[in-house]
Amino acid sequence: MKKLLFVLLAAAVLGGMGLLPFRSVDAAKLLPVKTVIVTKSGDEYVVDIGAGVQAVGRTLREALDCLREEVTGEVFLPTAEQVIVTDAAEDAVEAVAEETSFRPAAGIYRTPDRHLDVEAVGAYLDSHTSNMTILDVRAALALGQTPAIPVIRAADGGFRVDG
Amino acid sequence: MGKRHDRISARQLGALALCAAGVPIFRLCCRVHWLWTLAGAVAACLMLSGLSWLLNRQDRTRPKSSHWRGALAPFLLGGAALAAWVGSFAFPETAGNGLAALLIFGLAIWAARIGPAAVGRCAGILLWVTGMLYGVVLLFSVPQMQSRWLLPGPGGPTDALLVWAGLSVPGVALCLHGALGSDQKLPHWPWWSAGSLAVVAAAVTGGILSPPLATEREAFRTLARGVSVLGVMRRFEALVNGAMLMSAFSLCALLLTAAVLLWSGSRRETERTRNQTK
Repeated sequence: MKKLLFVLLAAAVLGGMGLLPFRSVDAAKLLPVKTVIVTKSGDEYVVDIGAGVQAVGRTLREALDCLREEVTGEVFLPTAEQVIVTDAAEDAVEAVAEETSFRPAAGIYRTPDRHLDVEAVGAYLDSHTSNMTILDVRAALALGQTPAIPVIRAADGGFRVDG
Repeated sequence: MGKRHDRISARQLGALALCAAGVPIFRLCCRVHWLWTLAGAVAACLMLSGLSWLLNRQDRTRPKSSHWRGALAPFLLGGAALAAWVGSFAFPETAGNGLAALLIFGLAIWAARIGPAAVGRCAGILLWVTGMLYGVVLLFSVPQMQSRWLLPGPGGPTDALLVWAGLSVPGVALCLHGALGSDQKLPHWPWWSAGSLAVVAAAVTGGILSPPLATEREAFRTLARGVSVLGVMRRFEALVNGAMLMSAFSLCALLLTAAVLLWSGSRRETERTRNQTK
């Protein structure tokens, strides 16, 4: 019992000094992301997660880092269920596939539209799940194949998915 | 059998070995093509099963020299330190963190100091917990497997050799069994269960991630991050992290307990020989 108390005390002291290798996050500050749109403005990548929150960077990683740093709260990307890459940012597909912040099971889409409403497209894709995931894209790229990513576009006041 | 704290049943020892096998299985074997994993696993299982059979046939009433066993202790100690280091990779936040490794090593030393009985009791619980955690992830992953990724693919005999070497590590339980001088028969099921699990893990990992992605260092974690149930993504990585930590602790505790017992047995025999000479 004494040993157990000693271990608990040591853990409390190490935790208090911030030496324990775990990071705690206030759940109230979490900003779970559902849909991410990656586009390009000039030479810079723009990451849009809805609610008017956007971040810009020279690479996708830089844009995501900017998102984490500048947004109030803790942006939580692993909850993203869909990642949409605009045709303007087509060269970001590989970076999206390699990005570890996204879950491999998240759906991936391309779109020719530069400005999609993130919330609306997210709600539409909830009922139209993709057969192509980030993992499929990674596997295709690793095998030197071109992934057939489905295309989503605005049509008749709604959306349409091809492919 | 010795004192009460020296008692570990053959079944508990088998459970400890199977728990410890989680480290090579989910760190190494699942990254190898399942056909080469099968070859390596069959070789390892046959070897360990054969050694268990030989050990079970030995006459344990005859005193045997244990001088040479003490020489194994430093290697086992090094192996335990390595297992603790690997254990630090159980959580992405603590990957390669010396303090996390030290915590695992410290806990394993604590368990080993209490005696094999404490380690055996831990193993009895950990086997069920890790089995359930790995089982849940593998079970929910199976529907996502693609048969085209299971066709004969990359790899070679070196991969099979690696699998054989990895799955042989829990065989340290045989040394422990020999050092304890238990009259119980060591079961064969831990070796065959570990071998089967290695093949299943390799097939599921390769069948979902595709052969090129399955060779990545954190392949099994990637698999856990990509599991969907009925089209909805599930967060299984926390289960995998926990199971990997428990497996690393089991391996560390197994190696440390074996090192302590072999070393103390060797020392006792040296002292006995010295007293007889006097």
